[in-house]
Amino acid sequence: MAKTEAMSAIVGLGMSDLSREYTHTSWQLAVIAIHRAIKDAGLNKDDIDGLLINKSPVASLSSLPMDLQDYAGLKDLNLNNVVEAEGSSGVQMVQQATMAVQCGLASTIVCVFSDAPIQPGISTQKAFGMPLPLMGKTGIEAPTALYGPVAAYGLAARRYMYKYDLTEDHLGAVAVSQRQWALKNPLAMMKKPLTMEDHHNSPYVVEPFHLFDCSFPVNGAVAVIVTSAERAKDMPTPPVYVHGMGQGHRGVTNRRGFEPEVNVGAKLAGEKAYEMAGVTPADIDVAEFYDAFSYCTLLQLELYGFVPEGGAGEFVLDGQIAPGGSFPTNTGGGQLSGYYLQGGTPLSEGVMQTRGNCGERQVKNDLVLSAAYGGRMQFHACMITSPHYTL
Amino acid sequence: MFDIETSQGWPMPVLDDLNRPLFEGMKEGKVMVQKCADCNTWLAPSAFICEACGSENVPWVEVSGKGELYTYVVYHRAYAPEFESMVPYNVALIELEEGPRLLANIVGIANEDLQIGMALKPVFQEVAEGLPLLRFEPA
Repeated sequence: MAKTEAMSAIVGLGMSDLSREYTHTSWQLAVIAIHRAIKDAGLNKDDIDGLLINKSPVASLSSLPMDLQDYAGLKDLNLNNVVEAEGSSGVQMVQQATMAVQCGLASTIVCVFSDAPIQPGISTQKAFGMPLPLMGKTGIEAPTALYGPVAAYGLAARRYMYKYDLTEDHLGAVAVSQRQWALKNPLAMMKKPLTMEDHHNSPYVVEPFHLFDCSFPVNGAVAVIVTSAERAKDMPTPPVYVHGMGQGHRGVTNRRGFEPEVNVGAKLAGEKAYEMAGVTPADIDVAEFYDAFSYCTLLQLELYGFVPEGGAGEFVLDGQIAPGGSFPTNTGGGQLSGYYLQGGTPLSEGVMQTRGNCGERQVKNDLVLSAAYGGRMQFHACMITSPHYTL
Repeated sequence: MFDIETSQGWPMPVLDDLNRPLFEGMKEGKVMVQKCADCNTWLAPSAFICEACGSENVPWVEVSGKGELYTYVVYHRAYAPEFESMVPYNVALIELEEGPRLLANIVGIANEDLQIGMALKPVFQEVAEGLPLLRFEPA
């Protein structure tokens, strides 16, 4: 293994309270998370000289504006930016902060994701139920009654299942495995055990997805503080060193010879990150994915190189990503059973696992992969973190 | 997010210069797609340039509409009131024999009998006044 030194470190983590009811606006949740992250890092707000903001792609610009600086009382920033790469932004913020720290643009950068899809008068079911141009066919989707992300992902999932001869058992195994992790995570929203029978008996939302194949809206915010790897050595929290990062955006081609539903950019993102860190997928101990739908975990297990392409279904059905399995995955319960905070979900659990303070759900953590995607798995970003300054 | 006009009890397509020929074609019972005039790549609507070669010369061309089922979903709940009477209904991607894939509903077959790879042909169904929507049925 080539010897590499860390590029940056995450030294603070703050989360608002998470809720499936409306309690605060998105910017209020963001302010709470920012200040909890600052406190966690043993800093005060005047130490912060950079702010990166990530709102949900379906939230309005005004819900989480650049004025967040003032709502949070942050002064004299050298960096302030809304990062817009849809669901991949949670990880992309850390990538941008790392670059900013490396080149000296800013030294102590808070990165925050916040969302409040559940609003007074907007139920959890309606929060993401609007027609979205997820297929990139503006004007064509609505007349075919293609509404909501569940179907856009469902089209991709059906093709993936067809390609590798997968059944609902393989999807259900993801949901069941992640629920086992969630039961060990005090932050997780889902508190009851889930069996394969429960999964199969739950109603279809949009076939092939049963209810338990889908994540669910949560109001909440996640903030992390990124600084130089050198400085992190003297900080009070166990440093989360960033050793590799990558992005992958393959583009969607809707014609014969291309399979954009299966050949998504996760592979590209992973290859770049592994190269940067000087490691291989076999070196990674645990993976935290953006898993808005069950099949997303299967596809990412394959494209990030942890199992052969087409092999994830059997791997998961065999219990390998569940507690006690050979490759712990989505150890906080993921978005299916933990909490759906877009890229903030893999980001927060990846930080907690790398720190080694996950209690009952802590796993071996020398190398942690955290990966997020946006669009209908179109835009991918990942990072490799470690408690070790040098690999 | 995009604008939706539902005054006729159905979400009408929001027409623009890029997609208008597709819907104008439906009124004449034609399946229209695009083909690059420079490199002959068939393109799924709506293309502004040829994604293969970058040419801006991407005219609309009528095709037979024969194709096969590429993938599909079945809705078991309605995300808007106008779809409630249709549930369960399908939405599919159809790969035309020329190569481009179109988004459409499959009719004339039970949802349980849909199979990826099955042969399909076009049919036009008036879902709202002035909108004879391109759908597909088993060939």
